[in-house]
Amino acid sequence: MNTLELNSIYKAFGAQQALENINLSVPTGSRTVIVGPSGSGKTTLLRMIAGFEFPDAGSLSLNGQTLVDGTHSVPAHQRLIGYVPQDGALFPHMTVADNIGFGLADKGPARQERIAELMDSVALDSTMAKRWPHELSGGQQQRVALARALAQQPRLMLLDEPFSALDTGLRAAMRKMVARLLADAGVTTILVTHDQSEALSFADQLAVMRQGRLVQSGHPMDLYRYPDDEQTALFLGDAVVMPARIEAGWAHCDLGRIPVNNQGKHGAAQIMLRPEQLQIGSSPTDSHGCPGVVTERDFGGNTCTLTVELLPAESEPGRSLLVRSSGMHAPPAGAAVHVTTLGHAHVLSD
Amino acid sequence: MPETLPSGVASAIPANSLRRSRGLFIGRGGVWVTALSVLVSLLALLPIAFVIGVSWQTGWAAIETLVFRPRVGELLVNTVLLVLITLPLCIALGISLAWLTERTNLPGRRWWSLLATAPLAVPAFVHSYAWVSLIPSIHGLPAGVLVSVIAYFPFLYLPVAATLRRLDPAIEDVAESLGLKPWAVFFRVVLPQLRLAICGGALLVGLHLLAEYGLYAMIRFDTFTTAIFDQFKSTFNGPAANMLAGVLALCCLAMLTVESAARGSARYARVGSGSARDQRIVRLDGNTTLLALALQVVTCALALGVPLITLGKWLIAGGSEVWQLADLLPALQQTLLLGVAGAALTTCAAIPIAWLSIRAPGRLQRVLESCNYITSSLPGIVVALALVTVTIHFARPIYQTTITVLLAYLLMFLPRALVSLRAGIAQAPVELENMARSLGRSPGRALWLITLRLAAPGAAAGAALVFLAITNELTATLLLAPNGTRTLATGFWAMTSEIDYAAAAPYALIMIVLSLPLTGLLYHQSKRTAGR
Repeated sequence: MNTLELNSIYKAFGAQQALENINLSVPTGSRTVIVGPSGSGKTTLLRMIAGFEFPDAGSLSLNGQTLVDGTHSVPAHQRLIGYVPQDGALFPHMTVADNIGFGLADKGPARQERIAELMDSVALDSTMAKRWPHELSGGQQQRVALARALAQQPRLMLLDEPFSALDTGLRAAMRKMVARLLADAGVTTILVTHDQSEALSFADQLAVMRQGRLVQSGHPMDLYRYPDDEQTALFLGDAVVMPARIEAGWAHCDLGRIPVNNQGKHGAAQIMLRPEQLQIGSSPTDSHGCPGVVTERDFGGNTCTLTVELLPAESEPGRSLLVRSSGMHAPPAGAAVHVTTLGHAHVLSD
Repeated sequence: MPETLPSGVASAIPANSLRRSRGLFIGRGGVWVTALSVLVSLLALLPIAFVIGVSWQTGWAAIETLVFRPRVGELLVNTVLLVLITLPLCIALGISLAWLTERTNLPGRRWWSLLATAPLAVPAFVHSYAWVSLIPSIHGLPAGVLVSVIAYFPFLYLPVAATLRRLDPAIEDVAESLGLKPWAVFFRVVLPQLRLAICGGALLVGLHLLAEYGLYAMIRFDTFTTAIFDQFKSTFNGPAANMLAGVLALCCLAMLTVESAARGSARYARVGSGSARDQRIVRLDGNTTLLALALQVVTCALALGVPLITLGKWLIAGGSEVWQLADLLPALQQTLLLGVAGAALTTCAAIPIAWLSIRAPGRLQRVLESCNYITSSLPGIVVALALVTVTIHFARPIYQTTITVLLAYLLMFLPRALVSLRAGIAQAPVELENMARSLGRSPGRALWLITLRLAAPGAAAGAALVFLAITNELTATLLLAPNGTRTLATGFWAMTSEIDYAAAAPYALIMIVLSLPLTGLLYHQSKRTAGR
């Protein structure tokens, strides 16, 4: 069953088209991530779901109830949708406890209990209840914002780049905690981010936005392996894209003959490989694969990204490829290597 | 997770009445706010309309005879000389003191910083009164320059000191690493960054020089404002006074233009977030320290010592006799009443414009705001003459009533309320209101619980600034107040006009005491802009 349905949403700010024909279904209990570069319209879309913006055309429904269509709109305060913005947006004139309790209708002792429970669930120490927002670290502020949004038991949770202001290490830890917390509570969640690694790790449904349009959506692994176009491929991670001639399930390209995933395709096309599908062998006796030279070595700790220039073939200049290698055995710049491929190449649409 | 809806959802409301774009509420509420802002701004244009209107009515021939005469030339020379001599002195003094208290290890620099702000608590005409009673023969341009500099230099000190504190220290480090000597760093890197502070402060001082009546009347130095006042008192609403007011208004507009040209279009905000380090402190050697201390001591002696000692002398000489409570208490009461009513009125009038400028900034809002700034830059005497003329001709029932006085305060002091109120509303970004709505609060409740609560301190600060400005206002109150009105300022003025300096002293003392919180507030605000 789908919790949220977006149908043909359009929105313009003046002459600027912000959202164009957005259609998206969000399954109940899922974690959907909307990812895209800045200015792609993802935050506008999120604010529209929250009820802070209104579409020029299209409709939006939650659990079968229409939130917005051409004639009517449910105001934000009646939607029961939780919202956690980038900076947390804590009320500066309220303590942590008052912030968390803001959405609770209850005024009695049960309120204090519920606040304590919520603080516990986001791993905030109970001694922090009396603190003021400005006395908290960035990570703590985000926890309070999350607890505040969870307090009203939302039907849907919207997270607008909630981890982007945090340090790298903290970011991953917070992401895991939030994912577990929301899964335990069974809350359907939509996260907006421009960070592709965050998107891939958090999502069970990924939607890629570009220039106000939803270009592709699906399971993160599928989007990573089988993107529709080069832009999406590169947005979701490093990629090797090269021209090839497809014949009977095989691509003929600078790397030689590689099996492709799309059997029905014939003729000239662009194929894509992820760098981890390329392997290098540096032993001089190993003549298997395509010969090349390492031109650059980017040491990154556990993995090393190598730039390998294939030896020129026929009249064409040598092509440069990105190859991942374990940090310990990476050949130095100038080393002669052989490049082999793993798995299928993906044929991009025209 | 509840699958059912809260009961209120059934009352879904039309999307159009809710349509928001970038935080702007374009509903009935938005239209009302805009209409009110336009109304307040039109009211603010009244003095300018008056100047244009009377010029039109008077006709060119009459204007020629009234304006192009030796007397006007004399006033113009006086005013221009006063501005040209006072401003550079104020700028030099303000920058020197600011640099010493902010960037050097001058002993007791925090105290000197407070003392450099304190002269603001003494109304300008009280400074003048102190000097006249100390040196009765003091008069003319030199006296005008002396008293103006010591009364107004804090207007330069405050913004320059605040900017010096806020500058990115890394920029100076980089300049030095590029081979600049410390003096060159100051003149080529620090001073240019002070430009906005200097321009703003100098404009404020300049406008005060043009508008001040009491200070110059007391030391018998004729400026446009004193001449208009005398003219008005002798001929009442004559075309001569009105024409002089026109010339004075032109001077003010010219000053605004010069200032906005001097600002230039360069960017002065930090480009990046800057470094969080403290400013580097210059170590003064023995002789320089003595010289710097001497400057601080002399400035303090002139700006605070003279008024306080003179006041003390008169209070002691007058003894208990000068504390005529039957006169003082009603004056205090009337001042407080006018102050509270004026502050409330002005703050309320500022709300729509402040709201628009934060939540829906645009060209209309900028025009509306500048209407108010231009009017408040006009001297109180021009505003007062405009209101006298307009009420006599078009609103006779409110002529010479408290309503007219309050209107004058509104026109003169609106920007003071506006600036603080705007900062207050900016404390409550629309995002927080959205947050409250997403947590189930209706738009009205969200406004009340979040925005109004957060803007309240700003509104209070603005109201306090207006209140204290009203407490010390002399010119417009003298001209507009109904018969029998006596505020502290007009009471003080009446006593000094009778050369009863001892009887005037209690009024001055009460005004200073009332102004101390204003000074404290300004000092505190300038520290806060620096993030401390």
